[in-house]
Amino acid sequence: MTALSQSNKSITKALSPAQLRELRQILTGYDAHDLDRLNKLIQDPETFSDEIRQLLPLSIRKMVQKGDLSLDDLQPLLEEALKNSIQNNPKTLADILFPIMMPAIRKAVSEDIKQMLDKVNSTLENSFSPKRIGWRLKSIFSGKSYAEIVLSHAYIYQVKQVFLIHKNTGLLLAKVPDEHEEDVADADLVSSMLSAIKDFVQDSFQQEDSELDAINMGDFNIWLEQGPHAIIAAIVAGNAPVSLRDKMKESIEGIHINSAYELEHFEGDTTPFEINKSLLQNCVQQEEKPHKKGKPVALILIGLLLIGALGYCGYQYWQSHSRFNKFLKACQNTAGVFISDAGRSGNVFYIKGMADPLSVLPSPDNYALHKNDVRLNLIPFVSLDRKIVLERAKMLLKPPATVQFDYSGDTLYVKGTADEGWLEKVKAVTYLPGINHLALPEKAPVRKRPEMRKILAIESQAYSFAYGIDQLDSTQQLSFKKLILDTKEILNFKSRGDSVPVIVVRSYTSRKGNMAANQRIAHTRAMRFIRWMQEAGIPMEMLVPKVRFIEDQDSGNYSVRTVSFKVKYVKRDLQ
Amino acid sequence: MIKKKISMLGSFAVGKTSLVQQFVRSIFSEKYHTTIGVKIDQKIVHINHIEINLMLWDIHGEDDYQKVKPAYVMGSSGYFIVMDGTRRNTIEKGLELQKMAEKVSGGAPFIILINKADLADEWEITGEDIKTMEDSGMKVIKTSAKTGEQVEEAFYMLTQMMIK
Repeated sequence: MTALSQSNKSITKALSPAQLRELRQILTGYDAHDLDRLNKLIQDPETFSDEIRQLLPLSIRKMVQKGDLSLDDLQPLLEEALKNSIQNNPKTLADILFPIMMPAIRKAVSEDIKQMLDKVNSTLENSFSPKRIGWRLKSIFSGKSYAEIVLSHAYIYQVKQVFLIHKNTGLLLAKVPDEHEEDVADADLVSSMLSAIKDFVQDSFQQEDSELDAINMGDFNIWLEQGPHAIIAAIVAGNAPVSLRDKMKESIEGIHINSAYELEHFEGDTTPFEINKSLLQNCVQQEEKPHKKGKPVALILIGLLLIGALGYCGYQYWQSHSRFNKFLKACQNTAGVFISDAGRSGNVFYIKGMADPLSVLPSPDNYALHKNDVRLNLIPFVSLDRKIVLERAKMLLKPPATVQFDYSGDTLYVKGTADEGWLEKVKAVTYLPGINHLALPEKAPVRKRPEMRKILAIESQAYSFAYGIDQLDSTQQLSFKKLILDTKEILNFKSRGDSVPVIVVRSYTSRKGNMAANQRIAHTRAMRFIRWMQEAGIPMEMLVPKVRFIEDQDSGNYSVRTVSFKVKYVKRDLQ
Repeated sequence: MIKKKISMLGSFAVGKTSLVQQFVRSIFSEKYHTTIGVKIDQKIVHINHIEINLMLWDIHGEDDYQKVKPAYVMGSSGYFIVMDGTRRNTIEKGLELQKMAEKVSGGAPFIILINKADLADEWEITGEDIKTMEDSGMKVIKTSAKTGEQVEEAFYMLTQMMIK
C-alpha cells in the first residue's frame, strides 16, 4: 500500500495537469465538465431530488415488474403513511371519502328506517285488535313469549316458484310449479343469472365457508339452499317462516340422495331430475291471512244508519205526539174551551172546537211545540163555565177591591163592602149570561174609607170664640186651612149617583140671656165662616148656615160661641 | 331436454356481445356486464333433431381493470374465445383466457372466433397467426358481428363438439 502510494505520487509528479485530466477522462469516460456537473448534482439536494423524481416512478414500475419489489413490500409503508395522515389531519381523508361514504350511509340509514317503519307498521297493524288480545291470552296460557306468538302469526307469505339449479353449471334442472313453455325458458335464464350472482357474491367477498343464502329483490326474496352439487332457489313473496328453510334443507338433502350420480355426472340432460319435483313441491308453501268472510259491512252500516234514522224519526214523532197530547189535554182542561176534534194533518196538528173569548188557552211554546206546528180552529162562544161567568162578571161589573164574587147555581154572590153607587150600578145590570140571581150583601155597603176620613176630619173641627170675638186666631187659621183642603177633597170624590155633599156650618149659642141677640150673633159667625170658605174656593151652594142652641139635645158637647161642621149628602133636586 | 352452458371469453371490445346479440334470446340488460361481469343469454339449437338449450355466459371482456372470474367459466361444456381481427394483441389475451378456461372447464371444447371479418382490410391478425393457432389444434372461425357471418355456424359447430 505504501509502495502504491509512492508510485502514484511519482506518476502525479511526472505528469502535467493537462496530461492528468486526459488520463482521468480515458479511465472514467467523463470529462471535467461532466464530473463538475455530477459533483454539483450530488451536492445540491434540490437539483438532485429533481433528477431522481424523474427516474423514481419508472424505477419502481420496473422493480415491480421484475419482482425486485412486490406490492406486499409497499403495503406496510402505504398503511403507515395512511395512518399517519389520518392521525395528523383526519379531515383531509374525510373530505376524500365523503362522496363515497355519504351515499352508502344514506342507503344504510334509509334501509334501517324502512325496516323500522315496517316493524312499526306491522306492530300497529296488530296492536289494537281483538286478535292481539287473543295472542296475549295465548301467550299466558301456552307459556310461550308474546313475541313468539306474534311472530308465528306474522308469517304471511307465498312461495311462488322453486328452482333446482345445478351448482357447477348454473343450469336449471327442475322447476315447480310447471308453467308455460315461455316461463320455463325464462326460468333457465333466471337460474343461470342467479348462479352468476351467487358466484359473483361469493367470489367478491372471498368467503369460502359462507354461502349466499338469500337475495332480497323488493317485494320478493330469493332463498337459496345450497348442496354440494345443486341449489334450491325459492322465490318467496312476503315474510316466510324459518320452517321454509328447514323444508328446503330437507329437499336438497333428499335430492342429493335421490340423484347423487346424476348431479355429479351431469352432462346437460335434465330429465332424470323430474323425479325430484315432489321434493321441490314440498317447498311450495304459503300462508294466507285468514280469509275474512266478506261481511256486507257497508250494507250493515247503511242498515244501522237507516234503523237509527227511523228510530230517531219515530222517537221525534212519538215525542211530538206526546207533547201535542199534553197540550190538547191542557186545552181541554181550560175553562171556556170545548174541543170537538183534534189530530194530525201532515206535519201539522190541528184542534177544532169552540172557545170563550175570556178563556185563557195554554201556549204551545210551553209544550215545546212551535206555534206553526199547531193549528187552532176555535169558534168563539159564550161559556157558562163557573170561572168564565165569574170572569165575565168581574169584567163587566168592575167590582171594587173590597168586593168578592162567588158563583153557584145560577146566582152571583157579591161579598164584602162597596159604596152605594157601585151597588146601584150592579142592580142596574139587567143580564149577565149564566146569572139569573144576584145576591147582594144584606148590610148596606159603607162609604169608602178615604171619603169617610175626610168627612170625619171636617166634622171633628170646632172653632170656639171668646165673648164678643168673631175673628180666627193664628191657630184657628191653620185649622181653617186644613178644613178647606178636606172640604175640597170631599168635592173631588165621585158623586154618588145624584147625591151631592153639603156642609152644614153649625154655630152654637145659648138661650140664656137675649136669645134673639144670641141667635143673631151666632148666625153672623156661621155666615162669616161661609164667607171665608167661599173666599177659599168652596162653592156657595154646598154651604148651609145653621144656628144650634147648646141647650138642645142634639147639640152634642159643643159649648157656646163654637162653630162646627156636619157633612151630608143630599139629592141634587133637594139641594 | 339437453342443456349446456357455454362461455364467451375475450379481450375488451372484441365484439363478443355484438357477435351474438341477434342470435340469442336475452332478458337481461347490458348493465350486468359492468356490475357483476357477466350476462346470461339463451340460444336453442337443434342437432340431429335434438333440441339443445344453450345457456350462453357472455363474460365481460378482460382488461387491466376487470379480470374474468374463473367461477363464471366453471361448468361450461364449451366456450368461445373471441378475438378482434383488427387488434393483434387480442390474440395474446385470448390465448391467456383459453388457458384459464381449459383449466377451469376441464378441457371443454372451444372455438376461437376472430371477429370483424367485415373489416378484412384493417386486420392485424394475419393468416400466419391463424395457422399457428390451427396448428396447435385450435378451431378458428372468422366471424362478423356486423353481417352475422359464420355466427350461427359457430354455435352449431361448438354444440356438435360438445355433444360428441
